[in-house]
Amino acid sequence: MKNQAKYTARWIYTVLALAAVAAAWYLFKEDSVVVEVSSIERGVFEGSLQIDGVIRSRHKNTVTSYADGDLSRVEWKVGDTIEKDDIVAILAWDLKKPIRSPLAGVISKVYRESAGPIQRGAPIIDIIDPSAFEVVAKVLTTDAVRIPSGAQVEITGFGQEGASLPGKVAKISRAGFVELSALGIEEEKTEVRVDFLSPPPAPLGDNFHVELSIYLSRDENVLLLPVSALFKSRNSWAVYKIADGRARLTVVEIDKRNNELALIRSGLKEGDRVILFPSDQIIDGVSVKIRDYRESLPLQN
Amino acid sequence: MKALDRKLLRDIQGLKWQIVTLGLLVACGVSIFVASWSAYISLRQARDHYYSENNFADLFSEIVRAPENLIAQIQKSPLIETVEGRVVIDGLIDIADQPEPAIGRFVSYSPHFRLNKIYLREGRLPQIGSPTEILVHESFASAHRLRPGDLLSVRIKGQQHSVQVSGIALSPEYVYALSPISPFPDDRHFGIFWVDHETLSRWSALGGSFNSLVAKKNPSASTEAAKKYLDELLATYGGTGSYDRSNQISSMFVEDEVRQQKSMAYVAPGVFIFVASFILYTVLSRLIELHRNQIAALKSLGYFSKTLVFHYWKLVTVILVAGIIPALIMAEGIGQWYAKLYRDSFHFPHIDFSLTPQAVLIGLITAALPAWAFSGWALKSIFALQPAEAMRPPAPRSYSLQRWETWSPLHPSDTQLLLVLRNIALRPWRTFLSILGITAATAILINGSFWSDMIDFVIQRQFYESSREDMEVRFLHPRRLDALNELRRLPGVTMIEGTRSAGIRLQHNNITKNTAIVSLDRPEGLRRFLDIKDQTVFPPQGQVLLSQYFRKRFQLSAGDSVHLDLIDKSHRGFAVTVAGFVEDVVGASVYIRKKDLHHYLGETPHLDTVYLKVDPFQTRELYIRLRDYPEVAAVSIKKMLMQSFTKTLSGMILTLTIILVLFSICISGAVLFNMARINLSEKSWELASMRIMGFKEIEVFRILFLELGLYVIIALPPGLLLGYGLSYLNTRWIHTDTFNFPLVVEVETYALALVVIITVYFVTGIFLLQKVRKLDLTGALKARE
Repeated sequence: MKNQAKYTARWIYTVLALAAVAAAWYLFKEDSVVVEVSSIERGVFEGSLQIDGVIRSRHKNTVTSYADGDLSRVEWKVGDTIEKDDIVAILAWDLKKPIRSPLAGVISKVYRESAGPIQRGAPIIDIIDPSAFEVVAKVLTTDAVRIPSGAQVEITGFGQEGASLPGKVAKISRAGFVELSALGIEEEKTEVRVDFLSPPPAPLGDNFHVELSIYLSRDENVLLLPVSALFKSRNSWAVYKIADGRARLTVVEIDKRNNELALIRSGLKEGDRVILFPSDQIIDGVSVKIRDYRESLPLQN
Repeated sequence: MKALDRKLLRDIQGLKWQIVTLGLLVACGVSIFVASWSAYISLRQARDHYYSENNFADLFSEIVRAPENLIAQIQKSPLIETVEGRVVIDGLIDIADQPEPAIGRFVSYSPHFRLNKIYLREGRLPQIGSPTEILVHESFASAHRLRPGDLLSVRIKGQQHSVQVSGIALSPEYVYALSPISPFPDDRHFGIFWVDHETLSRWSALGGSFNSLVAKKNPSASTEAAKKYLDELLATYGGTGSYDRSNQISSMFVEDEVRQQKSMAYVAPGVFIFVASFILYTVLSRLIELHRNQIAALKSLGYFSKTLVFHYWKLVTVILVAGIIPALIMAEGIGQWYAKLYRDSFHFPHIDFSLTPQAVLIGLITAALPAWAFSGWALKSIFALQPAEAMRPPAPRSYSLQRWETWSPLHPSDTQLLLVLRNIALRPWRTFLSILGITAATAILINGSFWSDMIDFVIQRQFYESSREDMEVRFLHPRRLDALNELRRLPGVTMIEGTRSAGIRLQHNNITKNTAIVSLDRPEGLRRFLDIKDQTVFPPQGQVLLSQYFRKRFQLSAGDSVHLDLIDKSHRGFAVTVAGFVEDVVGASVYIRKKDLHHYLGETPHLDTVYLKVDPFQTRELYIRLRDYPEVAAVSIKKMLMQSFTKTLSGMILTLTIILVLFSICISGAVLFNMARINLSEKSWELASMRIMGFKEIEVFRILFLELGLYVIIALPPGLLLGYGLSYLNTRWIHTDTFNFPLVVEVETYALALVVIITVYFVTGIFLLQKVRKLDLTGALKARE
């Protein structure tokens, strides 16, 4: 009887005590910080310069009036294709004589349309050569000097999603100029001209917008670290490496970095995991819980 | 009567601990109620008085640019009583006491303006002269300790101007000063300034025009008609649609606060009053049972029933008074705390908290009525008895074999448990209500600490998970991608990302909402979108994601098509399909791929917002460099924003949690302690008999303690659930148009509730043990003679 009595009471007290102890343990246990991690992998590091560019034709011809006289109406419109020797307009001075196109191309500008008197040397139309396109970009002089001659260029952003064209730096102008920057301050820039390595697809033409990635350097089979893991600790770069479920402050030496990746010289080895975007909740030795936010992310196209 | 008064004093003496605990419960409930209700009334009065005294407009409209002579035309309309055109423009402020720039909202001001009249706290109105004099809003002035006569450098539309503070001011339009860039008030980095109308028009290149219209409609005209009239008239000038006070930012926040305060006044006090009344009933009915003989004797001596009723009524009233007096003192304290919070975030000329007579009266009634009703119920049975019968001891309760005991699976083979179970079965209501009391205490505990869980979640989501940048820079106009390269070169920048956003008006069937479309270049950049499963989502090509706000508020669902019009009408509108929802905590936005946004806007890639990740040691240099860019319209630093957010909230939440935890300890303590006391007194005869029969003190104690333990075990699980439910209701009540408050209850919160309630249980045990030790054996047994 006595044993049984004790049994029930014990059962109730045990449940309560266990609940309290478990709850207290949960309250006072060390909290893990939820982190995202990335593994250090070997790969290709490309240092590149992203810049806006404009497609230009290398050859532009202005058709002018060769004598004072009366010009007939110019029927050509901007964008029309013109063949060599096509009649641009008829010029009448002593006699009526056609003005012919000196080359085949696309009309890029019509200076006058109406018929009427014209002076010798006055421009009538501009013709560009669509087979001789290049890309011109205005590059900050301090960036321009870093571009090796003949650097590889990837031309994108002309409208076709995901499409890119190969290019090559043809010339870096040594005649710089001062220009107001996008954000309104004066900057020293120079023109960089890029050749298409394959002819641009048909719709592309003069003054079309493109985006350039000019490759400054390429290192293969190097250790790569996401820049988002990097931060400054005293005077050197550092990351939080995961070791035994804890964050460990690890000093790293990096060679180069771009907006996404850094090239590691020392401090980490392949397969090490580092914490991305370490927040101020993370300190050396804190216990961490790894979480992935990208599970449901569909493959990007 | 003297005899009865002495009896009253003796009763009070005998019941002192019960009176203290009951008084405490009443005090908790009444104090929250009176404080919240008074705060509600005070806030409402401050608002109404301020709005009417300073002529707060009731129609607002932003226009790209409209000629000033339009005002005269609108003034003639029978729909409009008063109308004024002003210039409102944002700029940057360089201020000596902090390296990072602050955002200023400049509002043009003229002494002739009659709407949104400025209240001058200090100094004087600006006078024409050099340097230009301005008024500074109190929020910014106090954050930076600005005084009349201080000099500032401001930048409007890329141009630098020197200004001198002539006064500190307030306006009904900016009771809650919220920056255009952040959803939380940040007084150090956002301020409102009033500049002479002519000067500001010149600075913002809007001479002879206005870009902001405020109006008061004719009292007889309908708001909708007046809005429609303004919209039609202003459409050609780039009108973005007029709105009334319900969509005016400051007014919205004030209304939300008033509404929240009102709902606060109901819930928690309700629980307290209920528990207090129930315990009062139990204590009183037990007391009357004990006094059965006395009452009968008094009645036979010729006392009237009503005299005796009055005597017990006085006893109840003593308990109520014991609760209500400290309640009023506590209410005053809580109210002053509310008032302090209000003064920090709401800028009224005066906000005085006082216990309003109405609140005190309602408080008294809500406490007293249920208590009196319950005690009346308890008294009823005794007074129905004839004195002769009442003088006999009450028939003992039937401790005989109960029907359920014959049901073998349940039949307990141990005496302790049998005693406990019989006790419960004999008084099912009391047991039920006791358990309900503990359940309520657990729920209040969870509800108290749930707030910090929610705030933690908001901070985690808003400041860590979805935005990983350190700094956000906004430009005056969309810039080409070169801007990104320009900023990338600045010292200390480690990562950079540019986006394009635009003000839009979303339309779906009959729903219209002015909001912003925000774009991202890639799914896992410095900014990202998280869905309901806490996973990154990215808008599919050509489609958009919407804030969860649209799903919750308007029941939009994936696959719906929404029409988006640009607010500045710079490009034609477009229709897009909703692909899903983003679980954001702030705002109501539309999210899209950057490339798609460019496509819909018909532009080459541009950006107007840049996110930066920077080396913290070089930020000072970075700020200085950023000041040089005339195109930079705003800089916001995440860390500072977070600090201002946590500073405002954490103190408030912590205090609230502490108050609610204390209250819940009061409830659970009062329930357990009183139940133990009553059980002890009811069964003192049986227990004393047990002692005499050779049971030890500890065994007597065990029976009582075990019963309470059983209550606690039964009460905890529903208590945890109820806490979750109460928290859910809270998120519903405090829901505003700007915040989507998530329902997050962490395991820690449940754990804390368990620890507190079980600790209270064991502490009650210690008290109980002392009582059992003091059990007067002979006295207890004599009662039956």
